Amino acid sequence: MKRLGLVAGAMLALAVVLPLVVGRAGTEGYLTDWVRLAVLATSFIWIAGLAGRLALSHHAFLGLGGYLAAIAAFEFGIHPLVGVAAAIGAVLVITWLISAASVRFRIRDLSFSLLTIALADILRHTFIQVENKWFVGGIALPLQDDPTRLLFMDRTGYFYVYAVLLAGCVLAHVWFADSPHGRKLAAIRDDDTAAESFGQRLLRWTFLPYAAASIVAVLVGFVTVQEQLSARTDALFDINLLIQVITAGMLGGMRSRLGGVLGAGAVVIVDQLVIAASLDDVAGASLAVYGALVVLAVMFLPGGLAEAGKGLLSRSPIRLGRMRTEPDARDRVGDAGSIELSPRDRRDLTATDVRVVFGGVTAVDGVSVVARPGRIHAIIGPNGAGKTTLFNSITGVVAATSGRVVIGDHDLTADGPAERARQGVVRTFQIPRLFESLTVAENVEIGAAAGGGGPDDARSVLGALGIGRLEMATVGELTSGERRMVELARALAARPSVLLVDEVFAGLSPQEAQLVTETLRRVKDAGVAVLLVEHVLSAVRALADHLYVLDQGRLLQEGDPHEVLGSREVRMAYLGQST
Amino acid sequence: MFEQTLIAAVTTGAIYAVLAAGFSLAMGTMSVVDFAYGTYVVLGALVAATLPTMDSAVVDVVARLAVGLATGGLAAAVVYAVVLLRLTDRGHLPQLIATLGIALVVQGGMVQAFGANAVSTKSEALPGAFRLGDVAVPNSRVAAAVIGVAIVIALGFYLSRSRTGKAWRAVAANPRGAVLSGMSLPRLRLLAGIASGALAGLAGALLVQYLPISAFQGLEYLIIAFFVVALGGMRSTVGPVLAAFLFALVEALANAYAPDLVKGSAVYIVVALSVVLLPTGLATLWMGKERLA
Repeated sequence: MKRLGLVAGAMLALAVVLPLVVGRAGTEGYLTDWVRLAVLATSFIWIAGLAGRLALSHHAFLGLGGYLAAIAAFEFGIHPLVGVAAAIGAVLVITWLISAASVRFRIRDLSFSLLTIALADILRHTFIQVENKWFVGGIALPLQDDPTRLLFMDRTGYFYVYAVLLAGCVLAHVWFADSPHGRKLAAIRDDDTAAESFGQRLLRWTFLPYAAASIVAVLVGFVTVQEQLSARTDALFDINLLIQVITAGMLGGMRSRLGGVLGAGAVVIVDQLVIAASLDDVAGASLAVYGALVVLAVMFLPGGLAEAGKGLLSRSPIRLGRMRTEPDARDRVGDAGSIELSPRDRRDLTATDVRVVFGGVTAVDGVSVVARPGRIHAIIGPNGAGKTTLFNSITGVVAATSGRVVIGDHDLTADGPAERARQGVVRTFQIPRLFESLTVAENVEIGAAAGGGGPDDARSVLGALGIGRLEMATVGELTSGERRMVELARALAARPSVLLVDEVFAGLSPQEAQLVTETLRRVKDAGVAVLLVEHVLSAVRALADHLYVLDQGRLLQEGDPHEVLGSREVRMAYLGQST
Repeated sequence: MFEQTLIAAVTTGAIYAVLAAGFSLAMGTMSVVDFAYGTYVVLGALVAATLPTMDSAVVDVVARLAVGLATGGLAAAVVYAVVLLRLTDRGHLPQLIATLGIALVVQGGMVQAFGANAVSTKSEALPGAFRLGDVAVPNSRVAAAVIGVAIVIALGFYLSRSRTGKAWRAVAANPRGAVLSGMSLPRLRLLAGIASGALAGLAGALLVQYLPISAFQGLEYLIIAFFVVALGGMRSTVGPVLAAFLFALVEALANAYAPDLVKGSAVYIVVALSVVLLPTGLATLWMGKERLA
């Protein structure tokens, strides 16, 4: 909150002082250009930077807001804000549809960009047709001084309007980035499957930033029309503006709180230079300049001006998180009392007759497994037996073709991964899937949040697993063994009722393996139901209370581990012969 | 009227198939994100259109197509070597933004070199028309369609039979496994990029035989390529070809019959509906859902 106050105060001071310093020439021209572009760039960063989805529809929503406001005032003689409200309603519907489609069909990256730019094109074409039919040449609004409609006689008034919008956007951004939600969004951006497996709702975290950014664009469109006293499709649905916004975001820094403000400043300066070099008369030249700046920024200034500035200020661009490699006071290995490993509740997990069919291949063919609280159930089988697919269908990462998954008396069959995680079904992945842009502690906090815990819970789990020293490390610095340990910590921090562990022993050092064995025993003693896919048979012998053997998608045998492992059939499945 | 529409759809569809094949080679197979793909199309078209007219009609067409192909391939080679291959380990978003920047730079260059107006091949390359019942189809369109289909079939064979084609498919299936089997990922990506750019340039040269094209249309053709591939199925070879004809047909029908208000958006609405019904593309109908996911 203190930080918010500080930012608010600084911006208020700037808004008062800047116009006095630069005078009317500034507020009539480049200063207002800057603030306007900064509003657009800051909101654009919410979806393109924070959520990592490059939506190319900002200019179209600006046009939608502006044009509907103009139609309301001109055609119907009502307050333009009625038109703005209609535009916001349309934005909510459209962004929800796009977000739902992109989550449902896994539309990401280039596909998401093209989907949104096609949408922008449809909006633009539709309004061109509307203009040709009913408003030939565009809509002109009467010149009047009416502050209730944001009609001012000179441009300085609009400087203050945009400044208020910008302050709102930056404060919202700072509040959001500092809140736990900021981390959730980063986790989804890094690995949406893993984030979903820890209870994050993809649809919500795609829709909210996209809708919020688009609503800001609508508002800017409204102000633009009031400022220019006209609405024309070629000026309002202008793809060059989108290019300016992207350039501002890239130059400023797509992940930074002040990236939009800095980047917009840089673009306005570049604009002035382009005019000074009289390049603006040369067709295509200013767009090419923006293009070149974007390419250079991606290649040599990935964090933008904001990150570069931060690096200069702190003079230590390299993080020193992993300097301490010796165990320290934060590591309380084996100190069972210090950490809460008990499940949120004790419930059975029952998967009944699960079938998963990929095209012509039946990966899992009618398998039923049960996991009971306080017991470890191991699933073994040759490669390709369907173990990981079974895990994926239990956690909802893969939709089962048929079968039921029930926890306690709650049927999970129709639920997605996020909902199953919220019900206490938590997993690790065969190949660790950590959130690469977060620190170790933040990774584990995402897990803790899924179980209703906070940073303290995350820290105590890290300590209990003997990796408290890695707290501040970034994921990129970890060894493969450490990655597995952090992943296990993330899952444990969620206080699972049912824990699914996929080949956790692969690639661990003997010490780490020992620690994991002890930890899993303690987890089991605390009352968690554990399902373990494992190739390391010594670990299976040491840990499992009950054993399932899968072969070619079918359940081959189940029962007491020592009896099952001694059976002829199981040996045949593994070794392919009867000796 | 209807027959004309149908024939326009078939010829344009054949060229869209080439367009989609190149796009899915880079995006679907190599999972490289190249926003500049549409500018290779336009660049190939503009360069091909500026060639002086040859005496022999056949030589004229072949020379234009060869120049379009070479231009597209060369442009993609530069983009991949200088920018894209350096960004492959940084994820898709940086590739996307950087190639968007490149598209703007190339577009600016094209406006300078060729002007802002739409151009088309000035000569009547293949004069005369082919008679199909009552309908006359210009020979240039027939040639463009035949060449388009031939190219797509040849590419299909190349992908399934040749060493490089197999290597591309191996990389698509499992990049790490391919590297461990001794394949050079950057080299294969560069080759695929050049091939994809060459197909784009060729498609441009085919289109410009009968359609005026301007420097600003790169994005338009990128969007067409994307929607055709989305409609057909990212991982399928046959799906996008069928989708290309379907897309061209819907486009032609919308142009001829749809009310003005939805003329521009009709084809997208059809694609959107189709994606809702068949999320992994037309190929779902015969390949099954999960193999395409």
